[in-house]
Amino acid sequence: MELVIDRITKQFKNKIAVDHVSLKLKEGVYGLLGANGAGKTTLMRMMCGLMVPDSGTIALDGISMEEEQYRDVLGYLPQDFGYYPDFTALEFLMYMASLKGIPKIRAKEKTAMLLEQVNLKDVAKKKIKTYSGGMKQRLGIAQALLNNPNLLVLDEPTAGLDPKERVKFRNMISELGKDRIVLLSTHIVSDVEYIADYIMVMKKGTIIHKGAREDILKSIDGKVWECVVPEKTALDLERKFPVINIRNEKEGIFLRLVCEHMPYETASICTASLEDLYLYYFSDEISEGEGQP
Amino acid sequence: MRELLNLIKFEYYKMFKKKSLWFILAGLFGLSMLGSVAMLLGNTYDMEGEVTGTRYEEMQAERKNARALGGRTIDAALIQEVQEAYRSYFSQAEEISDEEEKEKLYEDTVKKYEPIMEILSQVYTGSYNSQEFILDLTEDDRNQFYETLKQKQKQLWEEYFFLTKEEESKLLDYQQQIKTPFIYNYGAGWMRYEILLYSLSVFLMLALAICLAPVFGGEYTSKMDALILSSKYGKSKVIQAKLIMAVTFTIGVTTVLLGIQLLEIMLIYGADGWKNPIQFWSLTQIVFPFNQIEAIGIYVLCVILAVLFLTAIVSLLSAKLKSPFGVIVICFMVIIIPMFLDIPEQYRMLNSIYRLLPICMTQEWNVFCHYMYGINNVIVPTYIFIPLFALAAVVLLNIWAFKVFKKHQVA
Amino acid sequence: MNLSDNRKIVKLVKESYEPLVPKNKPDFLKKAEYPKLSFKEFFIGQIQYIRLRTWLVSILLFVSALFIIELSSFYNMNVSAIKAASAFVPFFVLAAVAETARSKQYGMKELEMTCRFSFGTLLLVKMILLGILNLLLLSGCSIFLRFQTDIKLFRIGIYLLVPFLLTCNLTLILASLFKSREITYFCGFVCGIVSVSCLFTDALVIDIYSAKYDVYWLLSVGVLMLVLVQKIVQIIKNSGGILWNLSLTG
Repeated sequence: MELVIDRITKQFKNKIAVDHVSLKLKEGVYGLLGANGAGKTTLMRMMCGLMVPDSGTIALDGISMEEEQYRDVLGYLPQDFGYYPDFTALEFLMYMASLKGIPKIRAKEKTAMLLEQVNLKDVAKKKIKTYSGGMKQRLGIAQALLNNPNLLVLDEPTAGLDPKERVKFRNMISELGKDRIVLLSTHIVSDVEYIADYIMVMKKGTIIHKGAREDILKSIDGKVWECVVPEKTALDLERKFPVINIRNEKEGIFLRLVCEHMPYETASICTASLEDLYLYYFSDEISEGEGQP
Repeated sequence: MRELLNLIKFEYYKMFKKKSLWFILAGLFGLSMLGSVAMLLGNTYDMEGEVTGTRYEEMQAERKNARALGGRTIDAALIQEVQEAYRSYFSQAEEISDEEEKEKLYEDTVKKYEPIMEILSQVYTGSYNSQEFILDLTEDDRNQFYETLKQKQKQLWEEYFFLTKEEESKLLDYQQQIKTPFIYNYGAGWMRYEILLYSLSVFLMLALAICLAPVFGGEYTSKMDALILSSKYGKSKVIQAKLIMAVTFTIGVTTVLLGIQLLEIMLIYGADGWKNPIQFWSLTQIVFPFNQIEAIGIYVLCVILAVLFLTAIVSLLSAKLKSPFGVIVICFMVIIIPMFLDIPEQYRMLNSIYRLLPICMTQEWNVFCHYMYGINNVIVPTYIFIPLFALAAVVLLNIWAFKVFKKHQVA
Repeated sequence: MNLSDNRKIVKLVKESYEPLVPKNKPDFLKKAEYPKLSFKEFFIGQIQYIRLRTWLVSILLFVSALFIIELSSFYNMNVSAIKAASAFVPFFVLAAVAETARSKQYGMKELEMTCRFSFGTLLLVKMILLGILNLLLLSGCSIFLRFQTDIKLFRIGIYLLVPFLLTCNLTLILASLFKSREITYFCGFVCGIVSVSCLFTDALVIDIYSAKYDVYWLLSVGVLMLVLVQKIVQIIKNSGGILWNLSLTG
C-alpha cells in the first residue's frame, strides 16, 4: 500500500498554504507537526478530496483521490468536527455507515463494536448535543473507523481528551497503524512522540523535515541546554533564544533552551526531545505571536 | 439502489426530526382548512344592518336555487324564461314601496335565476351584475347568445391584448372547439377551489422554501460537509438522495395539501358542476375548450410543477450559499415581489419571461391567458408551455445544484 | 493671561527643564486601574458589532418596499399601497431575529454570560438598537406612503405597526417555546404568513382599512405593545441561566 503525494500546491490569494509538497507514505503512523497556519489542515483536506489542489496529484495505490474508490478506503476526522445535534450516537454512526456504503447489518455490528471501543456504549442512545467535548471527539474517532479504512487522516484527534483517554487513543492508533497508513496532526508533541513511527515537520507550506523520530532529532543534537542564571541574564537569554522551560529556583531562574552554542558559562548539554525540535523550528513564529522582536 | 434508498430514508429522517417542519406543516394545513371555510364564516346583514342569517346558510340557499336549474341548457328558451321572470318582477316591484315586500317578491320570482343572470350579464353587458339589460333583449339577441359571446371574446382580445396573428388564429381555432350550448350546473365548489389554488400556492412555496433551505445549507452550518464529502457516496449518491428527497417531499406535500383542500371544498359545496365549461370562470376571457375538471387538472399540474420549480431554486441556492437564512430571504423575495410587479403586456418578451416565474405560474389568469409561446407558426398556449418549461427548469437546476455541492471545497 | 501667553510659558518651561525619567513605568501601568466603559459607551459601541449584513438587508428591504409601494397600480391605489408596505414590514423583524440569535448560533452565549455587561444586557441593547432601526424604517415607509396616498399619517402608522408588532410577538413567543437552532425557520415561516396574509385581505368580507375600524387597529397596537414589552422583560430575566447537560460534568 502506498500513498503518493506528488508536488501538491494550494494557494489562497497571496498566501501559499501548501507549496509543492511531495510524499510517499506506506503502512505506519505518520505524525504531522507544525505551527498554526503551517498548512497541515490544508494538506489533509486535499488528501481527503475536500479541496482541489492547484497543481499536483494524490493517489493511493494508483487510485486518484477524486475517485469514489479512494474515498471508500478513507477515514477522516476533521479538526472542527461537525454533527447533527439531535441525532444520538447510534443514529449518527448508522448514518455515517450509510454514507460510507456499509450494509445495514454489518453497520449495526461495527457500530456496536466501535461504541464499546471508544467507551460510548452507555450513552449511545443519548443525543449528541448533550455530550461533553471529549465524548464528541471519541464519537468522531469512531466514525472515522467505520469502514476499516486503509488511509486514516486525523486532524487534531486528541483535542478535548483527558490524559487517560489520550493514552487509550494512542494505543488504539498504534494498533491501527500496523496495516494501514495513519496520518495525524497535532499540537500535542508527546502524542506524536509516543505514537508516530515517522514524523514530518511542516513550516510555511513545505515539509522541512521528515523521518523517524531518532533521525530528525539528530538535527538538534547538541543544541539543547539547561542552566540556572540570574534574572537579568534570563531575560536576556529569553529574548535571544527559544526557551522550552523556565521556572524560578532558589539560586536563580532555571532555563531549558535551544541554542547553537553554549548560551551561558554554567549551561549543560541535554538530550533533545521532540518538543525541543518543535520550538527550535518554530521559535520565530512563536516570537511573532508573543510580539517580541 | 438499496444504498440510495437508505440515504433517501436518512434525508427524510433528518428532515422530520426538525420540530420546525412539523410546526410549518401544521400551520400550512391549518391555513388551507381556514381558506376553505373563511368565506362561510360570519353573518349576513340587511340594509339596516340587522343579522339575517349566517354565510353558510346563504350558501346553502344559493346552492338549493342553483341546483333547481341543474341540467338546464342555456339557450334561447331559458333566456326567454329568465326575461319573463324579470319583466314580471320589475313591473310588480314598481308598485311596491315596502322594501321587505320587494325583497320577498325578488326571492319568489327571480332569485333562482341569479346564476343564469350572471352569465347573461357578462355576455350582453360585460359586467357581472347588471339586470335592466334583460328587459331589452330581442328574439335575435336571445338566439344569437353564443355568437354574441364569441364576438365579445374576440373583441376583448383585439382591444386589450397585444397578440400576434398566429396567436389570434390559434385562439379562433380554440373558440370553434368550445361545446355549445352550455348546460348549467351548480359549480361553486370547483370555482372556489380554483380561486383558492393561487393563495394556497403562495403559502406552500413559502413553507417549502423554509423546510428545504437546509437541504445543503444545513450541512455547511452544522459542519457536516467535510465528513459527507470525504465519504464514499458523499459526491454521488448522497447528493442524489438529497435532491430526490427534495423533489418527492415537494410532490408529496403539494399533492396531499391540494387533495385535502379539494376534498374539504367538495364536502362543503358539493361536487356538482364538474362538467361545466371553463368559460363559467370568466365567460369573455377564456376561450379554451375545457370543462371544470379538465381545467382544474391542468391548473393543479401547473401548480405542482411551479412549486417543484421553486424547490429546485431552493436546492441550488442552498448548495451555493453557506447558510439557509440567505436562501430563505432570497426565496421569499422571489415569491413575494412578483406578486406586486406587473410588466406591461406591450413588452411581450419581458412579459413572457415574467410569466414564467414560479409564483406567476400558479396564477389562473396566467395559465389560461391568451398569450402563447413559440416562434412563428410553432406556438403553444401557456397552459402547455408552463409545465414543459417548469419540468426542464427543475431538471437543469437540480443538475446544477448537484455539481455545486459536489465541487464545494471545505475551507 | 490669554491662551497664547499660556502656550508660551509652557514652551519656555519645557525648554528650560529636563523632564524626570519615569521609574517603574511598566509596573505602574500594569497595576493602574483604567476607567471602565459606561453603559452609554457600551450601548453606542454595540452599533459597530451588529453585522453589516443586517444593516444592508434592512436597507435593501426598505428600498424594495418603497419601490413596490410606488409600483402598486391596482384599482384601489390607497389600499394596495398599504398592503404592499404591510407585506414587507414582517421582514424587518426577520433580519433582527437573525442578529439576536447570533450568540446562540456561534456558541458565544456562555462567554457573554460571564462578562460585566452580561448576555441579558447585551440582548436588550441589541433589541433596542434594532428596534430603533426598524422604527426608523417604518417611519420612512409611513412618510412615503403619506405622499402616495390620501390617508393620514397616523392611520398609516397604525396599519404598518400592527403586522410589525404581530410578527415581533409571534417570533418572541416561538423563541421562548423552541430553544433550538431552528428558531430562524420558525420565525421565517411566521414572517411569511403575516406578510402574505397582508396581501390577501381582499378575501375578507369587510374592508379592514376603512376608517370605521381604526379603533380596532389602535386597540391591536396597544395590546401587541403590552405583550411585546412583557415578553422582552421575560426573555431578559431568563437569559441568566444555562440548561444542564453532560458537558457540565466533563
